[in-house]
Amino acid sequence: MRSLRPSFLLTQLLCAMCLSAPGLGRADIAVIVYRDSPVQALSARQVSDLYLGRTRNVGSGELLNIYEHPVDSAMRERFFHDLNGMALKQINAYWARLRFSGEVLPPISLPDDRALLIAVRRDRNAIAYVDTSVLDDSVRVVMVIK
Amino acid sequence: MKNSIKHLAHWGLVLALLLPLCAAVHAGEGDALQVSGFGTLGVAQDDRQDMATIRDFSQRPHDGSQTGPSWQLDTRLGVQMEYRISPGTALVGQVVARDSAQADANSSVELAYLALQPVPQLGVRLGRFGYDAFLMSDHRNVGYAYNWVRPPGEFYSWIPIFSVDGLDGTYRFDAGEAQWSIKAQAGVSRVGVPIGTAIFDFETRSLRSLSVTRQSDLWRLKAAYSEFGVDSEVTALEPLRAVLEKIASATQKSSPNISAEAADLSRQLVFQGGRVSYATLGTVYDDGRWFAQAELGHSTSTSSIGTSGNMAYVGAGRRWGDWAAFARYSVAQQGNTVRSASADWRVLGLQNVQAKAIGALNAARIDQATLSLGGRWDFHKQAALKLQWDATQVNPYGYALWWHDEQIGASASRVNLLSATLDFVF
Repeated sequence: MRSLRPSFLLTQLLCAMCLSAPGLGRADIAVIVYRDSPVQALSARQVSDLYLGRTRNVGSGELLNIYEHPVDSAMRERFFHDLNGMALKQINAYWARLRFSGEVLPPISLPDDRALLIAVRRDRNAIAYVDTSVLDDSVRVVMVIK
Repeated sequence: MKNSIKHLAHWGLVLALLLPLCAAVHAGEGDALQVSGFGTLGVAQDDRQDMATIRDFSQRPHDGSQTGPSWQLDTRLGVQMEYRISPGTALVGQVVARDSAQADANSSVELAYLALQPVPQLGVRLGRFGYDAFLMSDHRNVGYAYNWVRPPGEFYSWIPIFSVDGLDGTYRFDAGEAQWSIKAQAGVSRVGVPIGTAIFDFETRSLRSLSVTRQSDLWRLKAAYSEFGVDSEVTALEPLRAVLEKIASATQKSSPNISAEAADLSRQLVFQGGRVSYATLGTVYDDGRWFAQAELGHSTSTSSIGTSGNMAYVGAGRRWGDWAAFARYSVAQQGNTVRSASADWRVLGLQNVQAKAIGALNAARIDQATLSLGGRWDFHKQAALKLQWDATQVNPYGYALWWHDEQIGASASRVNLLSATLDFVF
């Protein structure tokens, strides 16, 4: 019998909370990885470093494929604001330097939560962020941004 | 070794340019092929009839030094293609259309490289990539990425290298709360520099750079050293050098003073074979509300017509929501002293040749300082408007960053430049 791991419990709990409390305001943002990824949990600092192009590795020894919402989306704006306090326009200018200097390629942009969830289900090295309302146990939650 | 690097760089460049085009014609969100870009629509006007500024050494003002609004100075458009072959392998190509005296297909390609990341800590690029010797040397074209209208001219306008054809490697590691990266570059570069109506094909050889960067939450620190050899000669000066050599030879016995000066002037006007080095130290601070940036640099050149000296700038500003205001002061002090006549050539009626040779040497000097004030309004998620006023004091014989009337070269000048730009990314 498979034992329940803390990350699955966290996912189930978050799903239950979202389902049981509709209309109580916007849902949190979950940072997710492949279900069997060696990455168990991440700090806000680690997630921030990943999405600022400062690293693509969080100790697993493998390069992570970083996915995110469209560059001008409200979800991306909310993610950075809640994660590290950076405004979307500031982030866009920051990434313009990294991208067009050729220093770092930006995260792969996908259209919405559903596409991101599918990408993480399929890619062993994926990391993404989605609204907690779309979570299921097909992915592992490594951090929740409230 | 030099040829091997050249060949490797060439193949990296060809691969980077061709593969994305072959891979797909459609690029959407999440596709392996991504197309993006940046641009600036700018206008600038100065208050002098006898001077015109340049953004960098590759530009030649279209109307000489006449005053009038210039759209060419800052306007440019860049398109970038990225093709991710695997998590650790990508091809990147970037083409930039901007004003330059030698606007051809080769010089428009700013990036064209194959990027490999065999392990998380190590990145390797092969092909054409950005020059990494300064804080802003690899993204000077991307106006949206910085708050100013343009990087400080005293520091950046006279760097004749934009891209390098060769190989570079970056090693990254964490230490405490900071990320460190050590980057080494080796290769060659080429740019067309207008001299009068001619173009000097400025080619470097044995270009080597090493930089160390420390990035923490709010601070970025960078120290770099770069050096290269000059592999081409200023052909526009060859007739002058030939005349000087003839004078040196013909006056060896009759006028040894004139002969010695002519020989020295001819020697000083040689560029090919010279070596140039840059040593820089820079820092950037940004806490979201306050931002600041400063850089110190020292340059040496074994050739007298190569620019050398010290340069520095410091700038700071504050954001209020979508608005920002900034101030900056930048200065460049020439390493070479002003050259003056040491012998009287009037006895031979050749004072014009002497004046022309001395003028050519002094024309390469940069000696000026600029105070800049400006603002930025991020009116859109991917676009910003900027306005900037630059007040520059140019010291005598320090006009290398200006196209100007010859008669003002020996005197000091003050010039005001007002610029407005629309910077965007897509």
